[in-house]
Amino acid sequence: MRATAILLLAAAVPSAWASSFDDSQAFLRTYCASCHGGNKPAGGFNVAEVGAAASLDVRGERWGRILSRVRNSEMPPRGVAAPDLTARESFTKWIDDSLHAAACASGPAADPAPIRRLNRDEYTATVRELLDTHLNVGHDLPADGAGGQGFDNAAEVLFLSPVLAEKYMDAAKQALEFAVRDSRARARIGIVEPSAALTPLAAARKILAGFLPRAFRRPVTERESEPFLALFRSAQRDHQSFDNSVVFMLRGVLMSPRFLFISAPPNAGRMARPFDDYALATRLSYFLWGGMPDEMLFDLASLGKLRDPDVLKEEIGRMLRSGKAMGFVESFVTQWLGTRTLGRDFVPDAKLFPKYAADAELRADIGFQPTVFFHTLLATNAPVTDLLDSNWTILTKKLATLYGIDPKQFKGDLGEQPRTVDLPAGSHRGGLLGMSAVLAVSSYPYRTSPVLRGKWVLDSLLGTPPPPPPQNVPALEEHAGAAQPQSMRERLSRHRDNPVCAGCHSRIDPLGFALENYDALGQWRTEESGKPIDNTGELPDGTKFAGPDQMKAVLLARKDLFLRSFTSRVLGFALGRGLTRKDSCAVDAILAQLADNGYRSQALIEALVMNPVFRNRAGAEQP
Amino acid sequence: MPHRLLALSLLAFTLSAADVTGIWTGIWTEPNRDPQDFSFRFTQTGGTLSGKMYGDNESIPLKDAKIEGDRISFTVTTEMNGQINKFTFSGDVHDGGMELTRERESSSKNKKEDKPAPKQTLRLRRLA
Repeated sequence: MRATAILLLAAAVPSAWASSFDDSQAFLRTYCASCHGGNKPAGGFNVAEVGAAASLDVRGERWGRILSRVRNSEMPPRGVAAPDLTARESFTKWIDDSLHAAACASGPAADPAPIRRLNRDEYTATVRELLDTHLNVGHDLPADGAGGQGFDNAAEVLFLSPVLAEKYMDAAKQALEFAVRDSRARARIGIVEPSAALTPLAAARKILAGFLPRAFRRPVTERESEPFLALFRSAQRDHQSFDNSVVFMLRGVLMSPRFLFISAPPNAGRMARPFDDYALATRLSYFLWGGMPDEMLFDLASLGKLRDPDVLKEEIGRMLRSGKAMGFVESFVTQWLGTRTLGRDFVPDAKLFPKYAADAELRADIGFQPTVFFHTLLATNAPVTDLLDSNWTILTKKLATLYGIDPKQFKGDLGEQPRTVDLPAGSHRGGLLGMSAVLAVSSYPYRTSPVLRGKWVLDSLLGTPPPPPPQNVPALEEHAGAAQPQSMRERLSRHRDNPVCAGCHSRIDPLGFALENYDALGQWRTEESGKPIDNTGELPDGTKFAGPDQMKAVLLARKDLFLRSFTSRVLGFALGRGLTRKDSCAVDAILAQLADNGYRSQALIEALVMNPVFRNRAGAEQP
Repeated sequence: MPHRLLALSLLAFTLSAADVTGIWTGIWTEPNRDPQDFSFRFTQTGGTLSGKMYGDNESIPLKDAKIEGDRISFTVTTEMNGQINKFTFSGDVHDGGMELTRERESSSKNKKEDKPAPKQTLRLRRLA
């Protein structure tokens, strides 16, 4: 289905190669067979491997590689006859649709649930709750890279190297040594003192009985406790104090794979089966809170009630209303939109934007706006289409001023705390595209870039990132020379003159042009360097617009593309892994329920959690 | 005979009392404030009631918990940043739900300055 997305905003595309399996074979014969045929096919791939319709089922992976390489213009290679963009896209769309249909023939699939390490943020939040301490124990842990759908909770990247294991060991030591000196943390851990009636070992056993099930997020047997009691005994033999022995024992717990990794009981059966209540509690809490289950989730799991659909729906609502949902929201939003880099790797130029450089509060307000907006959207069950455009937003006094909005026009003065406000007409600030954080990270530090912004819209909002530029083609915007035209639009117009560039830039650039009224910090402007801003754009299908409001209307009119992309991102985050073609069937089902519920944000989360892909663990034979 | 009558009447009373054992939840809404979830776990043995109120991090035990017929009451004491607040919940169990009134006693530190807190009504549903 992603190829559907490639047909970005085009109402209809001539389908020279798109309509049937036979057409796909004609494409392969024309553009691929000369190299990928015969006795010694290039790269060991012979088009004959995919010469039968059944290959869509049995050689789906091979078709997927063809799709990827043709879509990214890696094939055919330079110097041989290549299809034009229309033929290329209609061919890849046909592959995508065909593979989707083949994968979904048996309905939504269950989750293979790969084991994964708690990432840095999850580890920090989990230790914080386990020990009831505000210590940032993950401070010295390295940041996790992104994987899967672009998030740092993806199983693909969350392995544990020996070096990293040492860092976790240090973090656990630091956290526990702090905790045993803090009365609140001691109570939370359940530290009981040895006495005449309670030997040190019995006290340790009692501590472990309370602590271990919470740390492992499920009931534990006595046998599972033994290795940790052995650590306690060992420390006692070394004449360590009781507290030090407890720390030694609990360090073992915090280094256990059962704590450090999220894993569900294996499913050795052939068919999928539901996750048990405790695994479901863990999946829910790391999805919606980015931390461990709370006592109520554990209680519901112990009663065997969490899998009850009515109970589950109630819990989803409670979890989304909780302040802990910010754990999910902040992680998801800042990675999805790329705003996590703002103020770190990406800093607007201090000379051009002195207000940003000088005002820490303003910087914080800019950074928080998309996150608080998304949290409010979820908590109030507003439609997800509000992410594209809305008649409300989140403002502080400083943000309103930055945006040229009079902060006094709202009931109850705007202050330092972010507040939901109804936007005045003509504010141009509805949805994500009116937010400074988004507009800044899709610019250069010193100026806007219609190319970067267009690419941002295609990638982050629509899930249709353009292919990488062809090799050996210099970046147009960086061209220097006396004959260089003055305005950005004039410079970028050269994209249209160069057929190598025109195919993609005819889609990228217009979207960026429509946002040119925002400077690199997102402030509204009507002219640049003394010349009026030209905010007009025209898509390949002839759709014309001027300015952000009209562009957002175009996006909303064709919202399916955004909804599919957004749903896929949320699903990838929820599952903590990259999506496969099978998962697109779950996306279909979630989208259908979303549409039935007026695109309400909580309906999306509910539909996702109730879907087999979230609730069921795959067996050896799917589903 | 009188003993037997007393035992029978006690049995009848016990049977007629609502059994609230389980997890109950409700949302308290207030103008211009985020909705707040309240969740409780009750354990009822005859006329004896115990339980806890779920908190963000850990639960708080219910004190002075009583259930007589359909009437239920208990107190919860919270501590935040050194400020101690005692809340009394009381109300009825009916139609499968629970309607409670919450009253806050004055803070331990500012008893003289505290204005009497308004009563708030909370409706709970049995979750599990």
